[in-house]
Formats: sequence, C-alpha cells, structure tokens
Amino acid sequence: MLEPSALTELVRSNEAQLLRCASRYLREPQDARDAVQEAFIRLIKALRAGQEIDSPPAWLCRVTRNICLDFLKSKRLKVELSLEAGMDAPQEGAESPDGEASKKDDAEMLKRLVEGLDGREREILSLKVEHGKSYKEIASILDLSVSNVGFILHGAMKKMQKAYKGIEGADGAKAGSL
Amino acid sequence: MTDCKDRAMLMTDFLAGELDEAASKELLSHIESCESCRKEFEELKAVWSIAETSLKGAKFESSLAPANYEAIFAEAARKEEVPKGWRRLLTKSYGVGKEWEMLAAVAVVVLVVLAGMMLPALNSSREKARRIACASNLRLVNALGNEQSDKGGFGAGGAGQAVALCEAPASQMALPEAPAAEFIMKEEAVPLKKSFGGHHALAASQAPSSRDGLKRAEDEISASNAAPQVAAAPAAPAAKPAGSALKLDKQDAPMHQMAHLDRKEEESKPSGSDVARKLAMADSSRMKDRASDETMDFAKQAPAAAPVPIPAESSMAGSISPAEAKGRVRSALKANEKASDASAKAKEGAKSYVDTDAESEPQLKSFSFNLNLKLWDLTTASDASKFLKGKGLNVPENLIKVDKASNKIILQVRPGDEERLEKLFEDLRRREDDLGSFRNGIPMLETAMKPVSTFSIDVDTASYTLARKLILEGRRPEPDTVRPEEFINYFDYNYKSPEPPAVFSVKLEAAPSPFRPGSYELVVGVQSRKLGPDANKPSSFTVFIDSSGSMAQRGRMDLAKKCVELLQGQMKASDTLTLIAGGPEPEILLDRVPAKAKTVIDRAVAKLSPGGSTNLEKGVVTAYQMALRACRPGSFNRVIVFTDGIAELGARNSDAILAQVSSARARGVSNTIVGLGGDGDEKLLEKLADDGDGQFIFLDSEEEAQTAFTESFAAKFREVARDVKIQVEFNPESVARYRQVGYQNRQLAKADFRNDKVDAGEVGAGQGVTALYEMKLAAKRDPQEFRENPIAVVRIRYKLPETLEVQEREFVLKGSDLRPSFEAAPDNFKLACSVAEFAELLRYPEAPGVANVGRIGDILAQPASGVYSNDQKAMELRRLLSALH
Repeated sequence: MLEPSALTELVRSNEAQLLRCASRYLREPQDARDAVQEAFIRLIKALRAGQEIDSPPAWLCRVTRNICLDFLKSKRLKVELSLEAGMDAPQEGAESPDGEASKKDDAEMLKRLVEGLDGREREILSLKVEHGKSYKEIASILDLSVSNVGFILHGAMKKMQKAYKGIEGADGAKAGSL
Repeated sequence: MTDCKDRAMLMTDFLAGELDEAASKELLSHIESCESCRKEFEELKAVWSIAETSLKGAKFESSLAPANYEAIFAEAARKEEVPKGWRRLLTKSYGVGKEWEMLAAVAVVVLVVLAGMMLPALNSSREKARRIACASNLRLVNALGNEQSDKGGFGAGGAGQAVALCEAPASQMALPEAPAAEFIMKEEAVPLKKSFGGHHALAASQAPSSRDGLKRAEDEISASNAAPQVAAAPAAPAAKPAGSALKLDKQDAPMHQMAHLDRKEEESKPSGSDVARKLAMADSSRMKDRASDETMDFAKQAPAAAPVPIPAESSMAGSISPAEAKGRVRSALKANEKASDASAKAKEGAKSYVDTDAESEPQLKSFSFNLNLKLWDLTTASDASKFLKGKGLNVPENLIKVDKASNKIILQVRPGDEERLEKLFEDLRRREDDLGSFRNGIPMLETAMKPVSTFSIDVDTASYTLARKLILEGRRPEPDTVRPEEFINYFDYNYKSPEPPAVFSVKLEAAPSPFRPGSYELVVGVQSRKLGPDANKPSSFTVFIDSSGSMAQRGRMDLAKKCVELLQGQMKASDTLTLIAGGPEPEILLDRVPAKAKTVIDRAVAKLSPGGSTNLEKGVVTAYQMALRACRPGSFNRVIVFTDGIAELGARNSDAILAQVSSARARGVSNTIVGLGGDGDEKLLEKLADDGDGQFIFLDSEEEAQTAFTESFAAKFREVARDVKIQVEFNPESVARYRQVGYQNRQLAKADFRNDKVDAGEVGAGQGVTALYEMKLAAKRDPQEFRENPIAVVRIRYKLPETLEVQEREFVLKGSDLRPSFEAAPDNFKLACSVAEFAELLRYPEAPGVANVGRIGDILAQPASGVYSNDQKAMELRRLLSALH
C-alpha cells in the first residue's frame, strides 16, 4: 500500500515528466493535468488491488499515454504526439533575449527535422531523447520488442539526418522521406 | 563482420546510451579509422543534440493543479480512513482484499447494536413513513403489504429489493438494499429507546469509511450526512427519522455485501454499472438458490418488505430523482405482483426468517479473479464449471461469469468453498507466474490443470530464415524474434499425403527425448493434400512491391523482381496479375493483366525502381482494394506484398490496415507477405500475415525465391483449408505434465476450437505442418503398463475454402505407440526434435535443461546421416550449429 508520504514523493517526482508527456498529446493544459491525475488514481487503485508494479514511473508513463490516446480517440481527434509543442509559447522567467532567439531557431530546426517522422517514431524519439527512457522501458510503454525500439529509433534518426543534410546543404532540397 | 551500414545502427544505440562498453569502444575506434562513418556519426550526433535541446527545452507545466492533488489524495485516502491499528488487527495475515470482509463484519456489529437500540421507534415511524409516501404512488403496494411488512417483512426485505436492484439505475444501487442489516435488527430487538440523532451521526460517520471501495462514495457521503441532520431536526415530521434510519441501514448493508464482491478486484473497475451488475447477479442468483430451498420461497416473501424502504426513501427530500423513484417503485410493484399469493408465508414470525436466512440459507459469496483465462481454458462459463468440478468445487454455470476482454472471472460459491476456491485460483496464478520463469528449465503445464492444448496452425517460416541470416553474419537473433514453430516448419518432414478425399493426414509420433531424460517428445505432423481438381482454378494475384530507397540495398528490389518473374512462370495463361509499385502514393503498373501477356508484364516490372519513400499503409490498402476488384468467384485470390519493412507505417495506422486485411480475408482474399532484407518491422509483417490468414516468408537469396515460387508454390499460394485449428487433449492418467514448443502467438482457448467464428491459419496445397510437445509421463508408470490407454487425442478442425464447410478429424496416440527409445524413432521425428531444440536454445538462452549446440549437433547427425543425408536444409542447419559453436 501507498503511504501518504510515499504518495507525495511519487507525485512530486513524476508529475513534471508525466505532464510533459501528456502535453505532447493533448493541447489543452487542463486535459493534460486531468490525464496525469487519472494516471495517479489508476496507480493507487492498481496497488490497492494488489497489482505488482515493478517500476511506477514507467507504469505511470504507459498509463498516461493510454489515457491520452483514449481521450483523443474519444474526441475523434488525430492520435499523434507533437514534438513541436511547448516551444512556440512565450517563455516565462528570466530568459535573455539571445536565449529566446536561439530557442526559436531550435524550434524551427526541430520542426523541419521531424517533419517526416511518423507517430511511432515521434513517440520513441520523445521517450528516448526527451525523457531518457531505456529501450526496454520504451518497449514496455509502447508494447514493442526491444530490438524494434532501437530499430525504429534508428530509422527516425536516419530520416532526421537526411533532413538535416538537406537543410545544411545549399540546395535546400525538401527532405523528410525515407 | 559488422559492416558500416550496421554500424550506423550501433551509432544510434550509442547515442541512446544503449551500447555496452566493449561495443562502444569498438565503435569509437572504428569511427576514428573510417572516414564515412565519422561523417555519419557527426551528423547523427548533431541531429541528436538538436532534438535533445529543443525537446528538453520545451516548456510545459511542471506541476499539477491543487484540484488534481486533492483528487489524487482523496483516492489514496479512501483506504486510510480506518485507523491503522484496527486494520492490522482485523486483517491479520489476510491480503488487502480481506480487509473488506473484516470491515464489513465490524460494520455489521456496530449496526446490530444500533439497530437494537432504535428498533421499536423505527417500527412505528416506518409505518408512518410508509403511509405518508405511499399515498401518492403506492396505493396498490400499500394495500397488500402494510401488515406483512411490519410483522414478517424483515428477513424478506432483501428479496423485494433485490428485484428493485436489478432494475434501479446504477447510481442508486446502494440505496435500496438492506437485508442483512434488517434481519439483524429483528434478531436483536432489544427495546431500548434512545434518541436517534446521536446514533445516526455515529453510524453515518462509520459508513463512508467502510464503504470507500465503492465509487459512488461522494453521492452517499452527502446523503448520509443528510441523515443525522434530518433526524436531529426537532420539528421534523415522524416520517423523517424513519427515513433516515432506513437510509442508514441501506447504506451499510450493501457495503457488507459488496465488500466481498469486490474484494478481489477492489476498485480495479469501479464504475457504478459494474458494481450494479455484480450486485444484480449476486442477488438474482441468491434468489434462485433460495427458490430451490423448500423451507423458504424467497420470491414469495418479496412483497412484504418491498414497500417499506421505497416510500421511506421517497420521503428523503430531494435525494432521489423522480425517474429513479419511479423505476424503483415499478420494480417493487413487480415484486409484489409476483408474490401477491404468498402473503401467508410472509406472516410467519420474523424470527423464523432470521433463522432461515442465517442458517439454512447459505449466502453465496462472490469472488472475482484476474488471470489468463485462455491459458487455463476458462473462457466460457461451462468450461470453468467443468474445470472447477474436476477440482471438487461444484459451481453451476449460471454462477460463473467470464470476461475475456479483461481476463476476469467472477463466480459465486457457497460458504465453505471459499477457501478452496481462493486457494485454487491462487495456485493458478502462481502457476501462471511460474510459466514465465525459466529458472528450472522451460516451464511445463500440469495436465491435471490444463489437459487440452489448442492452437491455430502456423505455416510461416520467416523467423528461421531471419535467424539464419543473422547467425551467418556472426550475430544471434533477439530471443523474442525466435518463433520455434517457424523453425520447425521450415524443414521438410515428408509426411504421407492424405488418401483422397481427406484433406489432411495426421501423423503422431512419440519417443523419449534425447535432450532431457524422463521426457518424451510428441510430434504432430499434419500434411495437406496435393492439389486435386482445384489445380485448374483461376487465380488472381495482386502484387505490391515496396519501392522505398532501402529496397535498393543488397539487391532487394532485384530479388522482388525475380519473384514476380517466377510467379508469372507459375501462373496459368488465364490467371491475372495486378502490380502496384510503392511510393508516397502507390502506382498501379498493371491491372488484371493475363499472365500470357508476357511482354506487358516484363515492361512493367522493368519500370520498378527503388528510391524515395513508400507509404506501406497506402500501398497495402490499395493492393487489397485492387484484389477485391479482381476477386472472381471460385478462384484463388491473393495479395503478395514485397517489402523490407522499412517503410512509413506507424503504429497509429496499423489498426486500419489490419482491419482491411481481415475484412478482405472474409471475402476470400488471402495474403503472402514476403520480407526482404531483414531489418524491417518484422512484428507488423507477421501480424499482417496472421490477420490475413496468410504467410510471412522471408527471402534473402535467389535460391530461396526459387524454392518459394516454384517447388513450394502450391503450398504457399494455393489454399486447401482455412481456419485450421489443432487440439491436443492429453490424458491426465498417462501424462503428468507437458508443454508445447513454440506457437506462443497462436494459442487458442479450448472453447475456440469448435467456435467456427474464431479465426485461425490457412494451409496451402501439399503443405506439411508440424507441432511438437514435450511430455512427462505420469509417475511410477511403465509405458508398457498403459499400452492401451490413450496418451493423447489430437483433433484437427478446418474449413474447406470453397464451401466453408467445417470438418473435424480425430487421431489417437496410444501407450503402445510410444517408441521405446529415441533411436527407434524415424528420421523426420529426430530432425524435428533437433530443430525444436535449436530454436529453443536461441529463444531461451538462459534456461537450464536446454541442450547445448554440441549435443544438438550430435542428435542432428542421426537423421543427417540417414534419410536426410542429401537434404539441403538439414545440411544448412548443421552449418548454423557449427557457426554458433
């Protein structure tokens, strides 16, 4: 069972990451928060039901994703994760103007790099690069085999590399295919 | 030797931090020395860092809103409201689930005391309450039930309410249910008058804490809070205290029942309707049970008490919506109608009901377990009932509910059986866990627990060819890509063709295992008939060729072209070919062109060139659309997809594509998925073939293509049976334990075998399919002792493709059929055992008991020096074994 202090700790240590994850699927911050809340509630219930959960963070991540997907499906929205989310919003805090500008560049660059990626590649890229999950964790979250995760990630990298070359190259060829 | 292309993949792994130290070192030193790899690496690194900075740099909210915290902690607190010391004391060694029952018991004790105190007042006020509220809508009920309800209605209260329960809206389930509490009240009828308010407050505060498992808590908390307020109001009419008193009972009573209903699953699915369903089930079954009991006809008691709670509740200002009240009244009326002839019974003293209820009326208890229903063949109530009977538990089918989707079984048992039931399911679950553990070798199933093994036939071979490619490159396949059945089915066992008109012959062969002393291997060899009169049936082939850039590598496109050429050679002049090239938008190169138009086809094939991207999803969907258009009645219709799997086919789309595949399957279009290369999305390709009743083959050489499209053409492209399922029933008397080698993705539940709606694999003409089992014979029994006893019964069931007529055949392996030694077994049996062991060595590298490469090589030498001395495939397997060495 979950002690209140342990729960507090669990929420504290995971909420930011889960919100991050949910926000990439759901545009409305309110929806993202609700999704994360629901994930925690399901965790509590699962634990109470005696379910054994090896890694609560990974479990939460998977459940949050499922909740988001269900939500999108129920609203008949496009089920896709946005790698571009969270970058166009004006940044709060003491960011220097320079930093701001370079952020903008990064955003623009990323947008062009990930253009050709499909949904699963996007998910894996986010889980690996942004959240630092291991292949194994990603495999369990997305229900893939471990080797497949590496493989798809590599495919995504190759696509991005190609797009990158296209941007770097003077010809500016439209990139993004295989 | 790893070449530069494979290194690129390692670079990604390296950046991802998934490469071990040695490999990283090797990679870095290679990058130092290789110009092109260095460039590649720099680029990948740049891309990675851009992605990392911008993804990580994105700003999102970093904490939840206070309302979210509240909701989360409220959920957690549901459990914590009872002081911990109490709970520990109560639950002792029980698991989490037990708490409910214990809490329920405590709540009942509290109620007994309370009820005893308030009973006299309750009775009179109840009378008044009823009169007031019944006036409007329950005249009929009132006329019938007034007297009885006072005198004899307590024990019977539950019945009327049970009926009400079944009909009442889910959200209100909790309200009208009070049997337990009520009969206890009667029993403990101590004339102790005390003011209401105080007790209500006490009981009401108790209620939510013990009831927190139920999702509807919020509603109820407010309702129960209302109770003491109402009661405490000095000027309240007499009906109100009564209403609140009843309300109180009713709140706690369902808790007492639901506690065990929900103990196993707790709140894993706490929707109101779920709870309602279970309650309804519990009550209706209890009713059945009682009806069969001569001492008390439960249904007949119903009217007596039914009216009581309803008007009383109706008097609770605003707590029930008109519609709900109406629903309940209607059900109460129904109860009354049913039993209007039975008022005499109801007039018996309350005490007698108490006795009946408490003693001769065993309360059924509901349990719910989550486990792999398919694994244990518990997917239907009838199977589950039989299974339990075999374990000495008599649970009729109507008391069992199975939910395949959530792998849940809900059953009700009489008291006394609970413990055994729980033990049994705990045992099953433990076994389930054990099946995932390879500490003591590859786990086996106990025949007593699961005597029947059912599976869908699988004729794929891709897993083997893929593994072969990797091994020859000096690598090992990932264990989870090794599907032993595909290894086994790659080889030829030359089973005898069936005598016409039979579609299949089945050969059963069993002999001691050469790898594990004490074990026997059982080989089920299925051989389909060669093409008979069907040989001249026209065929339509729709070929889709992935033309993405990656297809240029290692001659993949050339191989695909070669295959089309070979296919064309096999086609009859009148057969038609549709050819679609991949691309961002699929391009139709040929549309139903007869095979004789050779130059047209050749020209179209020559046009195929790899480059750019391919949308595999669109391509496959288009191919299926074309195939459906080309579909002619009484013909073979097949979609053939050539791909290296490296195409845009995201998980988001695979559902759509799979749906298309299955629906086309229903209209007679099957598929063959040809994997080229070997680094594609193999899992999806297998699924595509699986859902389309097709085959997934993997080609990496021209020789392979040659074989697939010439020698085994009929087997691969002409089906003779659909939905082929095999069931092996082991005799628990003879076989103690067994396990099936492979077929993990093809397992079916026992009940699926004769359910012709359940889809299974397709078998082509002249095709051999082999399944292998390892068995441990029952202890202390010499095989000679049970020569005449069956060891196993094997059934095969399938549909004929033309008429969809279902056929089933049965074959028996007797004790006398067991070979005395492995050496005495035929060579094809020995080969199958060797291949199976080889596959399992790759699949379960850590499991003790699996033979090593050397041992497998020794065993393989037997058939390889006998019947298989000239068999290319067997020779190749020997090479693979030595490569692994």
